[in-house]
Amino acid sequence: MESLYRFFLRYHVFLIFLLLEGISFTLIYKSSNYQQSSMMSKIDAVKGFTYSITSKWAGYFGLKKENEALAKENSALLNKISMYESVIFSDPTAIRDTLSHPGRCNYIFAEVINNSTNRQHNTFIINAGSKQRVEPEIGVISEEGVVGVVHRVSSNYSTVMSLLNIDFKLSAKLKRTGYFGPLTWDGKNIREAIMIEVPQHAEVLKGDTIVTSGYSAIFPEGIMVGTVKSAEVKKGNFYEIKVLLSADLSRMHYVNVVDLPQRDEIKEHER
Amino acid sequence: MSNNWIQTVISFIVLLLLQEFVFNNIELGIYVNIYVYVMFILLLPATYPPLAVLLLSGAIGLSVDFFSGSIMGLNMAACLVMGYARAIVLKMVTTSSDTQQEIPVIHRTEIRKVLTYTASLVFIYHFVLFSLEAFSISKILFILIRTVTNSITTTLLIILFESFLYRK
Repeated sequence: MESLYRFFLRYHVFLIFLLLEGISFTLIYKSSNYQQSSMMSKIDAVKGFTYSITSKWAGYFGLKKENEALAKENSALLNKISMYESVIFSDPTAIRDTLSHPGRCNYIFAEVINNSTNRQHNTFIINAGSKQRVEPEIGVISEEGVVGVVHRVSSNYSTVMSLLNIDFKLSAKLKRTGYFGPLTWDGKNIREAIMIEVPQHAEVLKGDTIVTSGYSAIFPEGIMVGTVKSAEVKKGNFYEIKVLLSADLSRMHYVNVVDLPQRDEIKEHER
Repeated sequence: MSNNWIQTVISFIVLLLLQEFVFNNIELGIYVNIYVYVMFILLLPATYPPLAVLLLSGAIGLSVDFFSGSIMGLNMAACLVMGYARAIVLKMVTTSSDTQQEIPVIHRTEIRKVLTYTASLVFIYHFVLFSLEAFSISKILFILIRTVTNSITTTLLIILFESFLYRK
């Protein structure tokens, strides 16, 4: 007993070090599990408020670029409207039943108030929360393409798991041929992601467009993700495709949260 | 004695806020992250018992994790290793001719010792942090490159800040 006591006295720093390391590893293990804690969302609310003040000022620096991007998007939308108008006016019978159509999705507009791109588990905060009907596990896009999935929600702010997070997984497909597979980020380059599980017999060309597959309740089908940078067959029969991401996450400012109306229904089936 | 503790509490708060609201927002890519807050562990007085150093290291790591909001426990684990290694590095750097009761800082100790002390502990911190972040053996080269580039920037910045803090 005496010697045990002396052992503890002698190595107490090392033993407490081991104990604390154990605690931190448990924390790492628990928080990688994509779980939500009420404590964290309270902190997010405080942080969201602070960052909304700083980003109000910082926002002025990127105005010119933002304006250009918005003007571009505007003209693209105008083109689309005129295209639809021409269809409607040339053939009034083309659109028959607009009421029974489920509708595609609602977009909730939000501003990015804090962003990180230099870690392995990147996240960003947007100024829309449960009051604006944002919920965990719904997709976030910018005008350039997919950028992330909502992780935690407080009443006015949400933390979004960025596309640049090694835990992020997205179901993507090649637009031209329709082959699909999961897309992940390998943590090395903020403009590049990896798409795997595309079978060897699929024809993959450099520059092919990659879009969301719509095989989940997170994103609708056909949202831009990026283009093929290079593809090689690795580990058996599957391609490993390097994808040049269309969205530059280091300079995004405005995003849209995509709320699918059929989300709850799809989730019911996924269970 | 109490003077030291007040200083410790103030530097804890100041470095935590600086890290979250200034340095975490400077984005220069994956290879240049700025983790200046580890300066807190480096500058704890040498008179503190090893257990206090360990607990304070864990506390600042956990606080930074808590505020930055990505993965809890990452910085805590790295800081704990750094806090534990501090006593060992301190023993190696200081020789009998030095006053044992002081940590090596710029203008007070010779530059070679300050650099060894700062750089080796900063290296340990980053290595643990990035290993846990990537969490795979196959990325070891990537982890090492990130550790080296980040250690260089952080060490230089810490020495720069020290030279302002400990002006003659």
